[in-house]
Amino acid sequence: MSKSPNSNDEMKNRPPITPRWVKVAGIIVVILILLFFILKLTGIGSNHGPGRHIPEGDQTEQSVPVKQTLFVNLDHGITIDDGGHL
Amino acid sequence: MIMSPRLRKLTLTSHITVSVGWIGAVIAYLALVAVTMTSQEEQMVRSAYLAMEPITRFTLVPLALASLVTGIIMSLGTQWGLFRHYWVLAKLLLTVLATLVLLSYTKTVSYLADAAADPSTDIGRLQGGGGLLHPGIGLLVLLVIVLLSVYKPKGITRYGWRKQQERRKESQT
Repeated sequence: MSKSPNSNDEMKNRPPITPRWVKVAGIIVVILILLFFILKLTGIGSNHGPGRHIPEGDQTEQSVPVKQTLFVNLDHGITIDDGGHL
Repeated sequence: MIMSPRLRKLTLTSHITVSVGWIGAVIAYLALVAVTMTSQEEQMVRSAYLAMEPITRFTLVPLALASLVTGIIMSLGTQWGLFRHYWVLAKLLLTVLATLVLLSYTKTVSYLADAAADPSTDIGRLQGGGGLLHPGIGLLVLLVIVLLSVYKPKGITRYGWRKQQERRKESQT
């Protein structure tokens, strides 16, 4: 049984199929984006500013002035720490 | 516009140099993070935090931007194009993402350096310099980019396929 004479031309004229590695990468990206939004909604990774490196509520006698620092908290918007202390 | 072979080699050399340099800078940064997490000497830890800022500001950020720019020039100046092949598109998206995350992370680095510069700051409260998460994932992303560059996995986009068709029709007429 021989191929139809136009089958090769038809193959060339058909748009390419998306390779498997692209599909797998796309699925991984979608999962990561969903994970990101789930973490945000549940508040697990909410404070993403530099201030997260300091434990909350940890008041010590030694305190240092910090420069005006912009904190971006995705739950509460942008706040400016104006000359507070660590 | 397709580059001449000489210009293409120059651009490729620049792109490889800055990209590999970026990876090296990330590894150097990771070494400093390791110091902040493991060292018991306060001076050593403070020095590591202080060193993170110039490494970020004067090597990581410029190299990231240079890698992005040279990569775009390479793509646009060769037959590969920027949107014709999936591996090029993936590299572009990953590089843009890594650069944006790096730029947003510079605030954290400056914050930590300022805190470490103040002698009255309790270094123990700075919790290991932001941790390994950002630079670790950044390094992983860069290694994926290297893999894409070397292996160039097959796959042409619809846009690339359309361009191929146009070229084919032009050569037939």
